[in-house]
Amino acid sequence: MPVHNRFFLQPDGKLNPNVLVSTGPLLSVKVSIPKELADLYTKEKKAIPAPKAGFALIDTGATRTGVDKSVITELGVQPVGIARTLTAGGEVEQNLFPAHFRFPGENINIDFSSVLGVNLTGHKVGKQSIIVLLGRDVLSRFLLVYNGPGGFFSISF
Amino acid sequence: MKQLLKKELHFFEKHKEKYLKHYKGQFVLIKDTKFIGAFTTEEEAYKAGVESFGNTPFLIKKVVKGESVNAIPALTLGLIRNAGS
Repeated sequence: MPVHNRFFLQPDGKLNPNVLVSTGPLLSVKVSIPKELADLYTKEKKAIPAPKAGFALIDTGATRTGVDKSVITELGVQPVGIARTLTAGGEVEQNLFPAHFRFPGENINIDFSSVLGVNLTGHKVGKQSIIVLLGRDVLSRFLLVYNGPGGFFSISF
Repeated sequence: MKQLLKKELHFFEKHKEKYLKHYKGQFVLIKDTKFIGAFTTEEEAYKAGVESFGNTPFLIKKVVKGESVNAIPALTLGLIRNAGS
């Protein structure tokens, strides 16, 4: 079970715990169409959409993982469910979509039967957008250690 | 984004009691107003849906009595926007 450490550095390369405070625990992620759909496209000789790259923010408060709806739209994936989610305005119904996540830094691949389509528009860290909120459904497969004073976190899968 | 699968969800709710008797804990696959089948896992249901209907909307629903509501406090508190679907 390999352990991956993610350190959060200042622009000058020095470790600063406040960087992790500011950004939150992030992982680079590539979101693509699910394997079953990719297999179908290959069989039908259709072009497979390129994966969408961005950041995944680990959100221990979220029961379920969410992907930005614009990413889902660009990938052209159709919904497979409806789920109810609490918002400031009460409960809303949101579509669920299948998706494939690749975490290139950790060499982890996860196929999801259903993730929530949520609006994460405009949330950026540097030049890259946050396109995924990693909820406790994913974290149920991970060991996660958040080291605030050290300015890093560790995950194991 | 327009809310999809309302028709399928309505069909599921209409037949939920029957599904609870026969398929409790399983995942049912519904397209339009047609029950396609019940599957042990969500992955199996999705595979069957893609094989039958390609990349089109279809409903996969776990057959359980109550239904949980998802909580994403970052969205609930407006720290991250959430416009619903």
